[in-house]
Amino acid sequence: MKNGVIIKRTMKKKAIIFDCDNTLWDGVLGEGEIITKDIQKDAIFLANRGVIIGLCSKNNEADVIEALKTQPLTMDYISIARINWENKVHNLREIALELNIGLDAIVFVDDSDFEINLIKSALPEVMAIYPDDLMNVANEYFDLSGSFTKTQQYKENFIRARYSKDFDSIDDYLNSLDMTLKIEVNNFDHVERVAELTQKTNQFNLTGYRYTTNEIKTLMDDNLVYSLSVKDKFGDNGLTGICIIRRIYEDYVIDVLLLSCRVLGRQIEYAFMDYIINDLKGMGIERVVGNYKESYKNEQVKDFYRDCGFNRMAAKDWYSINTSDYKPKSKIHFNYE
Amino acid sequence: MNDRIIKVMEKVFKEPIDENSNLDSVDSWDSLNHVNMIVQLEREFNITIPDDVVGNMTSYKLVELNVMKHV
Repeated sequence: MKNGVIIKRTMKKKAIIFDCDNTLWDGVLGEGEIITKDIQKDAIFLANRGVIIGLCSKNNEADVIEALKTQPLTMDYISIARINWENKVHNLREIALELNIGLDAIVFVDDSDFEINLIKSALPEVMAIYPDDLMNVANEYFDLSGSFTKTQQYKENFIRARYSKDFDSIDDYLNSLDMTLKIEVNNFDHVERVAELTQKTNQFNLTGYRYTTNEIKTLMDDNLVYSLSVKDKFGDNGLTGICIIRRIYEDYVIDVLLLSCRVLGRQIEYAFMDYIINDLKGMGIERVVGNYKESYKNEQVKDFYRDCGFNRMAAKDWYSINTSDYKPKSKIHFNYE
Repeated sequence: MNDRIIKVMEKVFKEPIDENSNLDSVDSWDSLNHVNMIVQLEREFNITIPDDVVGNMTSYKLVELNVMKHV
């Protein structure tokens, strides 16, 4: 198997300082119309990745501040600016001082041969580039990963996905993961995590009901709150699934059924359902009812109850099943703790 | 723009991709789909993308840059 660890590259640069006229837009402020350039979108993208974005240009400061009000790259994205008629060598030195970073952590972007060559000769530590080279340089010298790519779970999923290429069928691959499920009922230690999952889970979430920790505590008093923890040979995903069964008059209703997106695509949802129905059957419950409630991004679970063999009820998107008729759906081997 | 890359990304993210698409603008660009995209690109181009650049491929432009380096 591949035993990869994602190696963090050494970051060499911290800030990108832009010229304005003919770099961020076509045209010159105060001399007619300006036309926004796409590089502003790149700058916003970089700012959102934590890159310090600044301005160093020869303009009237008030003109630039006024212009940026109507540009995509607003002042909100700009951490530092030197907009004046001084020379750019002096301004870039000041910027480095004010940001408290080395000149060698600065990339300077300008369309003018004169400015680029000036910076290259007077401040060789600064990397002076033309606008067209921006993304190439950014790719090489900055960490542009999403926050998710820095997390342990991402790395584990990534190794899993690479590893999965070595198998012919998905089932073979899933079986090789040696997955272990731990399913607990009304465990008060889980209250906070359960509430958090109801708040945060969007994709695999049948009803999208959101609960606070206090509400979960109350629910645990006289309903069934199942919590599911998943681990496999690559690591422990922790508590990643919830099912809340409420008794409403004579019916046992699946009020919440959700799985964190971390563990999707592994047939865990079916094993979870198999376990719950079997458990309810063991308590003498004959019929279980559930519904799909369309909410933010949960379209993928529209047909989940049907796929589990539930029958349609008269009301739209409501389903029911007799526990004695239920046929287990999971084809993958899971260990249970 | 590279049509093969666009096609792979549109298949993974299930929405139109253009030159300015990135993980902020594409709703479904989460960790799982990021992994899917990398694996699908590796298959489509028959390349292996080194682990240390995978994290940086967070916009169409960065995907294209890094894929083209390894084709």
